[in-house]
Amino acid sequence: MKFDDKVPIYYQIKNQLYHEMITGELEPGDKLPAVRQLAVDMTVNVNTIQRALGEMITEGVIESQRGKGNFVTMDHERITQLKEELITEQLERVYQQLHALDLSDEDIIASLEHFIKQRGEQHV
Amino acid sequence: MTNLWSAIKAMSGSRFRQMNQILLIDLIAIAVTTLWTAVTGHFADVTILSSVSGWAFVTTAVSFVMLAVASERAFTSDSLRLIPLSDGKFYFANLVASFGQLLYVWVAQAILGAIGLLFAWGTITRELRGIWSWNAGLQTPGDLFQTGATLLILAFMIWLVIWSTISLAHLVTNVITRFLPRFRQQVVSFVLYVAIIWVTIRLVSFVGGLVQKFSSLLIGQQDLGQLWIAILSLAIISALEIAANLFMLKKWVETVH
Amino acid sequence: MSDVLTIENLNYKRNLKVILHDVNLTLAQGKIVGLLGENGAGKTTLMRLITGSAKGSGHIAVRDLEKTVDRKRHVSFSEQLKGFADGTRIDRVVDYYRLVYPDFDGQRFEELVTFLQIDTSLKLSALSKGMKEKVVIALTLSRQVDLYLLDEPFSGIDSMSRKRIISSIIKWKPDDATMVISDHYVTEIAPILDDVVIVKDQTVAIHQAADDIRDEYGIGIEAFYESLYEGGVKHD
Repeated sequence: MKFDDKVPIYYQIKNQLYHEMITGELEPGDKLPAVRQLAVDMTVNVNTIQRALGEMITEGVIESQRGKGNFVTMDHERITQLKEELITEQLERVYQQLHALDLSDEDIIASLEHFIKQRGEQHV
Repeated sequence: MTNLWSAIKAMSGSRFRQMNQILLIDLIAIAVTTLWTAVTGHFADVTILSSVSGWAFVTTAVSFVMLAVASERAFTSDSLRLIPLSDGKFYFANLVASFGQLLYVWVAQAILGAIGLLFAWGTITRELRGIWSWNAGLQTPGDLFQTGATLLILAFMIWLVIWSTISLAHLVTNVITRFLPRFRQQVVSFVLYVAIIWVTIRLVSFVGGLVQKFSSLLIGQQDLGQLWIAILSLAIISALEIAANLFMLKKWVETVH
Repeated sequence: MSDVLTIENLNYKRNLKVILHDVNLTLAQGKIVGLLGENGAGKTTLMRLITGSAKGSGHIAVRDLEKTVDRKRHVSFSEQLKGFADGTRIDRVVDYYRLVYPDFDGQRFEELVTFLQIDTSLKLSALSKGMKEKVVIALTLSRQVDLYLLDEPFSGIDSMSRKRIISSIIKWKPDDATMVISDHYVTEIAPILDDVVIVKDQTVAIHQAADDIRDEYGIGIEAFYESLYEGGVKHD
């Protein structure tokens, strides 16, 4: 896996796993690979994986079962919520940046609609 | 912690292979010399013995130098000095490993000599009979054994002193090159080499004196006690040198990587 | 968490020249630590002081043990096998390691040999630089110790070998052992580092968690390291 050296690695690992959960690569109840295996797959340190998983367990996205390993939560609602969180986060960033370009809220909506329409035409 | 025996074995391995190479070359040289003598038509029953003894000096000298080099390299080699072993045990293992190989070469020479002797038996007994009868009254078998044992101990002590002196010279130079700036290093190293040469000459004359004493012992009846005094003084010299070597190893001598 | 390495007031001179001055460093157990610094900054010297191959003044303790022989027992250093004749086969070197290091784990070595694709029947002289380094890494990691010191394991090595070596480090580093990897080129190993130690001006200038650096300054380890050498980032 390619990392952005400017962003804390544990944070990028979390994002990667979130992504897999939302897109369904990792389904609710799926078992995650062992910590060391994850570390080898992603070419990162075991401690960093542990930190990422630790935070995800606290967030309730992953459940740790003693002696069995880590599992994606069965709580579908939590995953939906996670998806919303990620969408909000992305939108937040776009919003901030467009806002910084001195666009009003209406301008932003208009340009987004325009953008999506244009894209749709290109792809059909 | 590495056990001492494993360390000795580990240090002996490469030296053993070196010694085997030398012995192999020795054997080839002996074979070639003997064959040459046979081809030129001068083969006699003493031919093998004379080529064995002729090459023995070269073989023992070369093996001595190679073992000295291996011994000294051990002090500054990471591969060896990283072994979890105290400096004292390391020094001892290194010494034993070299001595063992030295002994191996000498025993091999003795065996080759014995083979040569076997072929030359006829001539030798004829020649020896004279010496035997001349010397017969002087030494009983007990005396012979005692003299022999004393001589072996003496030989060992001489080796030990030479070995410790080589190490002393090497380690002192090593320490100097570490502490002094480059310019002064050369001056001091020069003075040091002069000093070492002087000490070596003194040592050689001392050993020469011992040999003289020994020969007078064989001919006239000198007291073995004098030899023991010599052994004791050699022991003291080597003990002092080894103490100095150990101190330097512990405090200053670094590996060259 | 207990400490694996403690260095206090370490000084080292050679030929009357100061190489390292007043070094203080404590490493916790279970970490992968990047030891960074320019060529000649003293990274190798620092490692050699820890193993006892170089002699300085001050205190160095591995697992609270200061005696050189005890340190040697607890430290595995990636030494370059210079003590072996060029014609020595790798098998022979392995026999040697088995003999002199009671903590050498033969099975682990076999696993590493398979993973790193090493042919142990080769002679040392027949090895490419990358292969030689793989052999050194396999030997170093096969000892079971508390502290592993890898001195510039990636310099002059092709990227495939580099990747394999990095994977083998992640796979075989025991959980509670600490590993120090020195390098003057950071990017490749940055993602696997817990801590970064930077040697500059004859001493340890920085010791900080890698993710803290990213969090705090919002820049990569490489950029941080370079800016430190240019004097750009302020630090306490």
